[in-house]
Amino acid sequence: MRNEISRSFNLDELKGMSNGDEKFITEMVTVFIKTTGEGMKKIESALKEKNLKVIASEVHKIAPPCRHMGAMELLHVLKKIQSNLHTSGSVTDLENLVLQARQKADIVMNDLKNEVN
Amino acid sequence: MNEKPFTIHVIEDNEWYNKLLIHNLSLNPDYIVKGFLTATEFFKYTGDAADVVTLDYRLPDMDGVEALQKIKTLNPDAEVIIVSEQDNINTAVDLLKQGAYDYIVKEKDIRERLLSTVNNIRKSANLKTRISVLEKEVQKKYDFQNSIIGSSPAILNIFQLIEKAISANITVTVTGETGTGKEVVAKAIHYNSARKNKPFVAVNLSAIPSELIESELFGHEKGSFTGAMARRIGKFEEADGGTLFLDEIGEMDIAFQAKLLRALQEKEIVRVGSNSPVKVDCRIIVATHRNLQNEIKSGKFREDLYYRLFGLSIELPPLRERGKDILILSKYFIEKFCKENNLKAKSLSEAAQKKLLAYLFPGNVRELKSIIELAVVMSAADEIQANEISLTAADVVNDVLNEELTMKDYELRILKSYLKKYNDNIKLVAEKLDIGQSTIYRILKNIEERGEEKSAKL
Repeated sequence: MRNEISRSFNLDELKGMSNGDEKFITEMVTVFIKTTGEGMKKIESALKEKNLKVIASEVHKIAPPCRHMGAMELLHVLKKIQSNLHTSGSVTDLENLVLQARQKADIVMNDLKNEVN
Repeated sequence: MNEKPFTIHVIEDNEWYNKLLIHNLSLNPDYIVKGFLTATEFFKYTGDAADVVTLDYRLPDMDGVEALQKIKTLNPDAEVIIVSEQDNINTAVDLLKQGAYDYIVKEKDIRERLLSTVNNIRKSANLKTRISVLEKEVQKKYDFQNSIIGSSPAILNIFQLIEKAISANITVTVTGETGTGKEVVAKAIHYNSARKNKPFVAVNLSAIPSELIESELFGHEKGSFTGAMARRIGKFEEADGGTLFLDEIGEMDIAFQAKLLRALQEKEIVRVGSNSPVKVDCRIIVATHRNLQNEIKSGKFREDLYYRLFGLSIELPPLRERGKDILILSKYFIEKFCKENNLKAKSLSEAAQKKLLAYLFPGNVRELKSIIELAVVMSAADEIQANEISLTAADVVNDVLNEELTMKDYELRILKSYLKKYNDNIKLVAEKLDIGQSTIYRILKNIEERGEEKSAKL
């Protein structure tokens, strides 16, 4: 695996947990790209339907891995979405936050794809 | 003790997190880890039951509380660790009240926290298993067919009395000579009674100074006397729900007997330095080698306490009155000692058996055990010979008596022993035996008359 050059993620923690198992790191990166991509699609789709419950559920699901993958900017936006939902914030703000999350997620996923390829 | 595989099930709907938890837990080769992405998938699983379940609080198909309750219903022995993104104290407290073992938030330190928690559960599970095994072993040990060995009518009668003591919550008095197994009987009663899962507490009253007996049995409050640095519960409270065995009750100081009587009647004790009575529920078994009625007559034992303690009386027979039980017990002790010391099994020669059966065993079963253990050690062959059985000096007389010689032969044996001891100095021997020298000459003359063969035999 190449050295990390992007700042959109940090694999130090994952490497620490891998016990030197490169295959494990590759697998976890691949699964992260897949689950984050699927989660973002569901969030965007739920936003169109104004289904806040599904948005909350999907954000809840994809946020924790971001912490361990060092994708802190994406995590920060996801936390803002959770806060918006919790405080019944404006839909416009929510739409903006989901858009931001999509942009951050794309960057992280692209950087990670480059990392494993 | 062989440890069974430790099974952990991970229920986590996020595939990434599911893999992360499985990976971290699987680093310990002793753990068998299986993952499930939904509660439905988990509850359909029919394989090995889990020792630990890590449960994501928010699953798509089942609420965390509902899943927790269902797991605890289906597998009450499983410990459930809630793993959640939410850092909500109220939710955590609620889940812990519902029976969750721990609540771990999906933070950076999750690996350390999870492994530490699982390790604690495993230690606790091992301890529970060990306690369970030991409880079974203790029960097996004190199944009185295993703990009290023998088939003589005297011991079969004891079995019947023990049965009665087990079935009723009555005070039991066990009497018998030293070494007859009074505490073994007390334990057999306790570990076969309804109180078996509660403590058996034994107190030897002869070993406690009279000024400490009250504190030892009833406990004391902090500062109640010099050296009472902290509150300490006494043996009565320690045995609460179980059995209190008061050994050598006849040695108890008369001044304390009134307090003991009150405790037995009221079923409550008062700690030294306290005014508040504490209710206690323990069965009392007492033992003594003394004749308590004689002690009452001599004013050393209170009559009212005697009648309060009297209950069911079990008088253990001395070993010398148990006939062939001596051989049954000998065989049992030989097998036990050989097994414990990785020695080849041994048996007793016919002469050795006769020697044991002729002995009076003043120390009873305890003495027989010591004699047998020494004989096993001394014996080089598979069969223990009579000369390898060492009886105590006090019973050499009994040994001699058991030979059933004539009075003349006994007389001759004594004389020969003295002559040997005093280098054939007849004058000195006559003085020592307080007989005339002529008597000695007469006995010696008899030897000659009876012939060398008989003399040599003696």
